[in-house]
Amino acid sequence: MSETLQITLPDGSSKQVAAGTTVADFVKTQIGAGLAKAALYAKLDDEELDLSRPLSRSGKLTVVTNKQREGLDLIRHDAAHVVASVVQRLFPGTQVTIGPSTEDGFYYDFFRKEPFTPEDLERIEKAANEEIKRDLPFVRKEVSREEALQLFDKLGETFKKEIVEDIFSKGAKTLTLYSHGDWVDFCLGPHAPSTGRIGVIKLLNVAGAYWRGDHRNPQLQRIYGTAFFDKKDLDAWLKQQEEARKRDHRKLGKELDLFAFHPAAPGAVFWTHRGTLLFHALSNAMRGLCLRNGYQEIKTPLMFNKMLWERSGHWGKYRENMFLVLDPESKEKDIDERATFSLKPMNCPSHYLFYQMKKHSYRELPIRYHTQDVLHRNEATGVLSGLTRVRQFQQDDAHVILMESQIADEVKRLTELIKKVYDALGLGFRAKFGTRPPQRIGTDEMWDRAEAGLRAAIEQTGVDWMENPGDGAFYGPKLDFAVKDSIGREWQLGTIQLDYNAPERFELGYVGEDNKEHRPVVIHRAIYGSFERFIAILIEHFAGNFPVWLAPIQARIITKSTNRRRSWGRRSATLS
Amino acid sequence: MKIPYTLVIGDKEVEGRGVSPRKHGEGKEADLGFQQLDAFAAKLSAEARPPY
Repeated sequence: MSETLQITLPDGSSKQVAAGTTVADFVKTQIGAGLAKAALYAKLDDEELDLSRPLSRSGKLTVVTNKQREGLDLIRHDAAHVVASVVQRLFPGTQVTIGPSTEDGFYYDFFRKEPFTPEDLERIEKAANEEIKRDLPFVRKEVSREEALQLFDKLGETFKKEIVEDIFSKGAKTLTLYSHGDWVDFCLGPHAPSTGRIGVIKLLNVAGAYWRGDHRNPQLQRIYGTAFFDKKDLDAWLKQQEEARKRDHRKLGKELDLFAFHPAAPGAVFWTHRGTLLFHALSNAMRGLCLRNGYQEIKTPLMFNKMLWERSGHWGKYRENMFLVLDPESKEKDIDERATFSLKPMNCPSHYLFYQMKKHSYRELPIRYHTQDVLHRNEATGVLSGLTRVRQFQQDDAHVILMESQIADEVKRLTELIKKVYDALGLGFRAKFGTRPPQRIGTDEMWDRAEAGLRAAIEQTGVDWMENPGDGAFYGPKLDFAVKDSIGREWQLGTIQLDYNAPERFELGYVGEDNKEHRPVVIHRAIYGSFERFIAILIEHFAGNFPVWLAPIQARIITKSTNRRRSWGRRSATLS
Repeated sequence: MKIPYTLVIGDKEVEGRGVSPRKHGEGKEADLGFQQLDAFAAKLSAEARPPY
């Protein structure tokens, strides 16, 4: 007699099932035919399983369907396999490497001497979609190192062999192969039951790539594509992409004369007069909002010596992302030893220093510091792009120092501020509540209190929110705010983060009602995030048609009259 | 440059001490018709104030 397993479902109910039952059968008989039809794969605790796999232990089972983002990611990876298979059939001698899913689709890197032409892509796309119609099952098989190496040797796949060797050298006992039709690849899985679940594949373009991302390695051709469950979704996405291209802030920024870049300062913006007016309109609006809501605006130094960064922990863990500056008074011969200053990559540590310069009573709390200072963070020049990836930027940064009992009220206020700003700009949004991660500081009681405070606050505001279990920072839970722009794209913008670590590290204190010294909590918060990225998002959101209060030029005059027009025109101009 | 208002000033506007604004929108412009200058200036400065 086979062992009986206890399978728990997300709703908390649990089912008994004989060991060896496949996931598909379990879903069909124990949950329902509807879900079984929509199911793509499942997760038993953290282990991802194909539907064809037998259940061999008890645990919590979550079924991933075609209604979920994870389901879309899965069929995009399935699509990469399908594309690779037809490329090898249509272009014999081409070697395959890797093909992951991405934010917007998938890519696959091929080794082939002749470049793929646009006509080749059309042929591949057509053949790939035919593979979907054939509804070929994805079949999983476990093999040993020898079997795997023999297989890829026979197929002449040198890149695959290299990866296989790597995997076994890291201690793997077996390897999994997935095949559909007569094409086989090794893959961690999982995959959908069959190619028919993909829906539709669209190939987008080809770009150059290097094996393992290293330019000393052979050059590969990367075919980008995407896949959707439904042709309708694909068409909507393609339309959105086209609209996004028209609105691209790099293009509009030039046309509207808002900003520029120069190779002499990679990743740092030159704001034109018009761009500066726009920047200041946003900056002043935020200043006004903060002033009316009990914030003090402060400015702290842009450059600090390592005394501060050692204390904050950045000197050890974050130094490569900081721009170091030589101490002109240093007597050290070695230039590295003289580089003991850094441009600040964030404001937090300087706010803590400022707070510490005076003694504070519980009566003053919450203390809210707002700062829009210039920050610098190193980013590889290769990834710099327009206003969205920059090295020099400003944030609408604020830190609230408060008593733990004030958290719920403060988070509610902060959420209301965020709502006010996004609503005024026509940006829909939702909050993501990141709860305790596995690696964290503090006691469970502390996390219980902090999470309850955040939950109570967000529930009171009536804002749309979802929970991201385990997504909190190691130093406290957080709320991230993602906005939706006018063409339906989602952007991560604002954040409210509780921090129980910084007050310890910087030994922040306040004198309580009992006349004793207590430890406050810190909240990091931003509404725009960085001005640079926020302006990029607004340019694309409004497609350059800014509301009057943000428009660098609000009105212009056209004269049609024959006489007196000059004086009247001038008077109109001064009045606006 | 996408400018929110274009103020047309012809003989009628000069006589009547006003402007005929056209509002820029996506695709087409909406003609708002003749308005007294003071009234339009008040409307414009209200719209130029930050909404938060």
